[in-house]
Amino acid sequence: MMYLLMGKLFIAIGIVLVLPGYFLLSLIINKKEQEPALVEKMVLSVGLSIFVVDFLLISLHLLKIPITQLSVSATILLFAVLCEALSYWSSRRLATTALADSDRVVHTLLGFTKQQWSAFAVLFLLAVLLRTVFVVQGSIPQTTDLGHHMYWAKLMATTGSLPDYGMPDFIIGEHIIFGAVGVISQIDFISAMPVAILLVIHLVSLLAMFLLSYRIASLAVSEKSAGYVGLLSVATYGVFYAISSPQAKFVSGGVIGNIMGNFLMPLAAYCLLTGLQLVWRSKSDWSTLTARFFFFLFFIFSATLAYTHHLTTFVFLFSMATFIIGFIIVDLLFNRFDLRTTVPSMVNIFKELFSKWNLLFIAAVAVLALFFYPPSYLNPSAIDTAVGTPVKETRTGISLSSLALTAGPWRFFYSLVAVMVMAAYMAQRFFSKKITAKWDAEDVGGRYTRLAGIIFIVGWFGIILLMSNQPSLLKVDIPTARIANYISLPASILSAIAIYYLWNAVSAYVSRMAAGLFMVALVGTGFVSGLTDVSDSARQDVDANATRQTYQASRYINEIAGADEMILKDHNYVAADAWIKLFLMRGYRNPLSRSLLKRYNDPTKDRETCTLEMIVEPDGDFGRQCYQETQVRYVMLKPGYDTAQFERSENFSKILAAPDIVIYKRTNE
Amino acid sequence: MTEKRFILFIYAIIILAVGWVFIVAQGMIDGKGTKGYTMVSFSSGSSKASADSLMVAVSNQTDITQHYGIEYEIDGIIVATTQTDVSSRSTVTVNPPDELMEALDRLPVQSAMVRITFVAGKQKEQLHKVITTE
Repeated sequence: MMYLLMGKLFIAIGIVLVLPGYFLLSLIINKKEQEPALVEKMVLSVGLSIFVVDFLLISLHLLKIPITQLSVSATILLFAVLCEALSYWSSRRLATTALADSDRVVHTLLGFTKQQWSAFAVLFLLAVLLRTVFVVQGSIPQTTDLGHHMYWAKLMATTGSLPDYGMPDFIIGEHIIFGAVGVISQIDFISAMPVAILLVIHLVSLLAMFLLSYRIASLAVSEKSAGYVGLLSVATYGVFYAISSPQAKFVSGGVIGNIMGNFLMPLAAYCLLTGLQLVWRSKSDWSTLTARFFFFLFFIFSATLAYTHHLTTFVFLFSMATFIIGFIIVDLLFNRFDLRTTVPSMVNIFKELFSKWNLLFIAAVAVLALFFYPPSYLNPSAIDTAVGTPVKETRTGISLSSLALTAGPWRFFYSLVAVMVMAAYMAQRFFSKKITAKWDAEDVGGRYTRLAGIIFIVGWFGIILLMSNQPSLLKVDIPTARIANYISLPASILSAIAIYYLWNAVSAYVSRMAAGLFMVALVGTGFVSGLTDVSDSARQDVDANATRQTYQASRYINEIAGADEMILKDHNYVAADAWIKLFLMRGYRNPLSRSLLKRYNDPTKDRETCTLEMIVEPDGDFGRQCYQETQVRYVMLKPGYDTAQFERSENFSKILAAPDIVIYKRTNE
Repeated sequence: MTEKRFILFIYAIIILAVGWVFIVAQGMIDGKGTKGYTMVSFSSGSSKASADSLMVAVSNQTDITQHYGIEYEIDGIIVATTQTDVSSRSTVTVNPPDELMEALDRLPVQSAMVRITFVAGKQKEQLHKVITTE
């Protein structure tokens, strides 16, 4: 039975997360010469699959076709067949274009030796092991975020249509993939399915980060460095600090938006930078075509991100704005404010970036977002909440030392080293006219690619640092800790670049053995710092027994509670309480929840206190009034935690008792 | 290792990792091999006139071959005891014993607290319920 379920899960994941993207990619590329590297193909296929499945299910919803096992499977398979047919048809029509060796270097991962692939495999295996061992321990569905998200995914599967959230906290892209896998596999949402999907996306995001590191290094440092930096990034991002947020902890905790955002954001950036590199480095038709293809993918992944996670989209917008503004300013500086040089080069980029097909795609997404299916956060109130001068203590910024701990101290230190080296490099080029001239002469487009790589990665790191440390300067009114988590992405790439810089510099002056020892020392300290995270973050035993009791109690309450009877539960102490609503499916806010106690004391706005008072003082005047108003009939608590008043009360009967959960029924109306 | 072999390796690793997580999680959800627990509950009504029954629910567990003793007490005095065998089923329904109903009939007050204690090995769980006499 278990193996049958697992087989169904793998088939459904294949249909949803691999198949549509793979065939769409075949259609878009469609020329043998443009065949991406296999790693690239694998990662792009998963990213495109998320886009396609989102688009197909939104289309089904808008066409009022019920979302069922048959409709979802048939639509995806039909899409794949259509892509393959079009691909076959167009490959017969179009002549292939010759590929220059210089282009091949840009587009593929040539240059990797067998030893490098083996090193990659070992590092990836280590990264996967660290995560999986952690995730396995808490794999029983019990975390709050995942419970909330799976309610909506299950609602999609049970009603056959996309949910209407009525609140800006959730976005459809967070749930469609889970809903689609659930509908196709028919596996219960209260299972290992959600964590399994998240783990797959997270593991593929490690490869996306590898690709982005590779691309940034080939731009900012040199093409020779790209392979080494890419490999080092598998260690700095994949192995070091593998458990802490936003990595394995977020997988285990079901923080869907971040996990998907941390996959789509690097992927979008990778496509943008690859496109730019192709525009600047090569003048062939093939390279222009391929650049447009990557720019098209950039817009696809950006749109998918916008429909998946608001916070990552917010950070991505800031990062892109920093890159564009920073690039224009630095280019002007290097051109000594000669607009005749800067403007045409910018126009050239924008012409390729906003080509006919890309503009059409942007217009289509805008129409969808404005008129047919807007992301839930696109409303004045939600935007007003996120933008403005922060007042709450949790939003006014964290110190640099806290930020260093969030990024990982080793990673943060070497990121700063890389930033300093890059700043010195830029200053040296800027102040030496001779060197700048040489720079331009020795490599066509070399200056632009170098500038773009450095400004992108430094800007990405800098803007997240500023948003986390001084959010008021940017009018960012979002919990700082949540933004700070993103620093680990650019910090991983920067620290990999720093290690390469240092190793390269030392190798020039000492023997090969001494340089090797130096490298071992550098990376070794990373292992020491990065793996202490594993022991520090070791999960405390997840109480699967308590979780199962909550499941059992939820099934029971679903049997006995009438349709108009509300339930109240305690989020503070009851295990897996967010999953109770998946057993009931009576609305997102049934059961009502006594939330974390500190949340009732909010200096910025009045909070309702009924859910608090109904538990603290159920027989008090206010408590009784709340029971009348909310129609709460049942209260679910953990024994010994605020249960004494219910034990004493003559208005409540204990109707269920278990070691970790009790249910009281209000008997006197 | 070549790129093609590397990709196959990646696929294999991801499949193994997901399979591992899935098997462990499903095991945890089903509760196999873990210590069981009991839950007990009234299944209906609040008045003795509605002839309350009790439901004993037992989770999937490996050691359910046992009898649950049920003690009924009113205001601290045990008025009846019964035995319930839950070894072969996940739930059983128990009707209140006649002694309890008779004891309730004898009550001189309008309402009373009935306390039912389930005893299984060392484990004791209590339910209470307000019974209103007619």
